Amino acid sequence: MRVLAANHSPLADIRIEKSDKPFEPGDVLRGSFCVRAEHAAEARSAELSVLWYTAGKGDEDFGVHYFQRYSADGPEAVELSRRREFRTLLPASPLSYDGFVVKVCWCARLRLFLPRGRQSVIEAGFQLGRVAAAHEPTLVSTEEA
Amino acid sequence: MTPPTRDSNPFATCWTNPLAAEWIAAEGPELGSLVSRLQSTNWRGQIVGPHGVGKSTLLAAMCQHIEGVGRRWVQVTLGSGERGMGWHQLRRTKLTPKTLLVVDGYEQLGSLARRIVRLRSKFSDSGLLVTAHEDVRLPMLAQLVPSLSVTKMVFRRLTFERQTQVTELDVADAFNACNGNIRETLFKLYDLHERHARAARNANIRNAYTVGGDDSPIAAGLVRD
Repeated sequence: MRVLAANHSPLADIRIEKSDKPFEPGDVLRGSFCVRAEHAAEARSAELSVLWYTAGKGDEDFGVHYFQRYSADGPEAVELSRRREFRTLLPASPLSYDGFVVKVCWCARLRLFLPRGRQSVIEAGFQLGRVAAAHEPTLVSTEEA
Repeated sequence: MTPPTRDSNPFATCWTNPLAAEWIAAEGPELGSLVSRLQSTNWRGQIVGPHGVGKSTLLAAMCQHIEGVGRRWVQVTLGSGERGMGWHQLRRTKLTPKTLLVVDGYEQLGSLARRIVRLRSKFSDSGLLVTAHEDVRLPMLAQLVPSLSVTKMVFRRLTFERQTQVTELDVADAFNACNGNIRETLFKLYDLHERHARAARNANIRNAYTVGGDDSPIAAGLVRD
């Protein structure tokens, strides 16, 4: 499934407050989302998650830290075009990491469920912690040792 | 500050794994005709080719088409070193006349295990579709050969929406260095992209450091000095 960056989606808007700087473990992450009015009638439900995932050269992993489901139908129906806020306390780990072989990435992810089984996924990334990016691995000669 | 994301590298596994990558039939048969051929051979067939040529990607694409014609398929993937686990899964898989058993990495099985799988599939009247490095005596659906032009098409698709400083000349160099193994070629391009990205970031940091101040990336603790 295609995953769109938050600023590239014509369907919905997802924002994280103060995401221009890294968050620290224990910080409160605050954000909001809304389905754009012209698509709100189409979306049957939405799932908002705050999660981490790995990306790189090998196997992938992920963990969901926060999850909330919103439905446009049923007894707890909500209006998806109305901007909804979310907040969560960020954990101590894993910290964001821009490694050479593997990266640990944090994001708020909005999954929209559309008619005929279609789905659309929109993500807004943020950084947790201040782990320095990895340098390119270099070979060290052992001859001198 | 740009947090790492899956978009940071267009050659990351999330874009290149068989389920995410798109099958390119530039020099090979179309998916529809492959599925028709598989139907005409009573749902028995093999996809043959060397390491990293795109057999699993073709298999994943075919399985989507197979679903489209209403056939149920069960896939068992045999990686090197997982033979025991895969074999266990193969033995436990329930086969019916409506099942298509898909075995990715059939060459990992020994000759006796292959015979058992073939007999089980024959007596249950299920289909059998496999990938292998050499002919395993099933109807030949596709024999894949490494192709630089296909690799360049894969490169163009991967970099259509994600920027990279890797060029098509790099693709050709990596393809030759990897002896036509497309998977290894993409790993090499991944590394090259990381090197370029880090070099560009270091250049930006040097510029920012020249300007200096408390807001510089080094002062903010985002990079090592």
